[in-house]
Amino acid sequence: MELLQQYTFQIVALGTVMLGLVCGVIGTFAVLRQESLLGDGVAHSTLPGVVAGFLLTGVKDTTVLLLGAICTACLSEWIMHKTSQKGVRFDAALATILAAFFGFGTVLLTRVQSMENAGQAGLNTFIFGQAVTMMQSDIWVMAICGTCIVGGVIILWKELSLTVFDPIEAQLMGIPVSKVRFFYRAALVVTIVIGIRTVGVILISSLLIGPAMIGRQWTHSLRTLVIIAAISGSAVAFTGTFVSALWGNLPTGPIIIIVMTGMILLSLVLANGKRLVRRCVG
Amino acid sequence: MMSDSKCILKVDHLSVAYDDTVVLKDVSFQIEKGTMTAIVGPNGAGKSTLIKAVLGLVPLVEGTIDLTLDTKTVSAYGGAKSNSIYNHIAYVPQTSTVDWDYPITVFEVVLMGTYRRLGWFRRPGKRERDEATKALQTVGMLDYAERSISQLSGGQQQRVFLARALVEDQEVYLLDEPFKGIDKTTESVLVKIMKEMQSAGKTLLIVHHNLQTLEVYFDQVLCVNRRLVGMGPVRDIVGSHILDETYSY
Repeated sequence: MELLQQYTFQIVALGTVMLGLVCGVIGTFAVLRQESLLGDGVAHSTLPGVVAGFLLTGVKDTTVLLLGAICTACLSEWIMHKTSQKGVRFDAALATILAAFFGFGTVLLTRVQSMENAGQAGLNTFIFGQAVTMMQSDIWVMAICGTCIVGGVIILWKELSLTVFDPIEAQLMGIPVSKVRFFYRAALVVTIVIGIRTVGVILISSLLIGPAMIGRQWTHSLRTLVIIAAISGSAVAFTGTFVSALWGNLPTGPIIIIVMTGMILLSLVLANGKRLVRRCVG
Repeated sequence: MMSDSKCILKVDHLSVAYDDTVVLKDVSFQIEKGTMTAIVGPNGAGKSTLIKAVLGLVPLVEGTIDLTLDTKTVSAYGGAKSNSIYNHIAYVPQTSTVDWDYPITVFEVVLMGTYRRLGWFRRPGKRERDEATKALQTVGMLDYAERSISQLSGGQQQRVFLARALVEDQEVYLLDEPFKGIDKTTESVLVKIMKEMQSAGKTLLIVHHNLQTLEVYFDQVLCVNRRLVGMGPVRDIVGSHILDETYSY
């Protein structure tokens, strides 16, 4: 229990819990829009941005790297959006763009690693994430972005839920569907970018999809689903951080994802069991 | 059945195209207030497109649409970027257009019909909830209010969509194949509700497939096959050469 008192642990735990919460909220809408893998595509696309940010400035400053990540993430999201509008299947566009951006990022990363610059080490932590390097300033960035995203979802609840459920009706109701979608896509990109340092570009999509999967087993109401996803995202993130800190050198991101997978399985079993019992009793 | 002979919807020389393909060409007709009109035609004839054009969901290449309400007339023109006619029309889409596995209850779907009136940020209050309850009662789905939409049959889904449109309380209702894939009993329930709406002065335009029921359900028929083949009272159209011409490619 001493662990809970440690300042470093508190910072990391606070960061991962906030990330789990925001991922749970915005990820639910991604899952409902049947775009579960969009987050995966966007996340992989941040890698060339991170490395390019370093190459252009020569410093390993988090703000610069994350700005680079935002640029390439937005670019890939925009390309996926445009190509799927032009009749290319969304999954095909996603797979191609994900691989292209990640491949390009890997090439840049190899180039950086061959350079004689002491500051280069650590860029590859973005691939699998490294939560322990989180600082108080990172927490502030997460808190501000997270508040904006969750606040935006609450304010635009009516518009967002109708746009995802029935976009044509939303349009007829006078809701500016494209603006609401822009908010959702921007929120998704920002969530991914603030999360890649912690869980890495490869694993962040699991943190977006998992909480919604857990919640979907228990409710038929969107509001309850988002609340369960937010709580389970935070709970899983905290448990993962705690376990990884307890056992020393275990990587936080992957542990969070393993805990998440366990929770999903448990949820599936328990919810199915509940339905079975109800059917037998009823 | 007609409450008066006032023209509520006037479509003049309407043409619609998707990319370079003309889907509807030079369609003109007038609909009187309080009538129930069937839009018939073979698959791919442009029936749904006609509805979407009136709603402003697809751009008009040319033509004019005028909607005359008690207090004002709203118009849409070919080439114009958007129109506001849809603000005064309720639309019941084909049930296949939404994801019925979405986590939402029947009541919440019907409540969505009040969103237009509420505007930005405002949440539905007691008044809106009462209206949704009343609409569910009208379509006989009040017992299902708290059910998940994933548990509904095709006919029940259609009734929920109709309830959502009822909550909107508009003058004109456009329905896209409301009887598709539902059983006879549900069909007669829906027709009864539609007739009641008509008696209350509402105007209904319905994309319809079953030519056997035209005379029983409708006042007039609009025959479409990429153009307006003909239009008139149902007794004049049924059995005439116009129907044969509509369905000949």
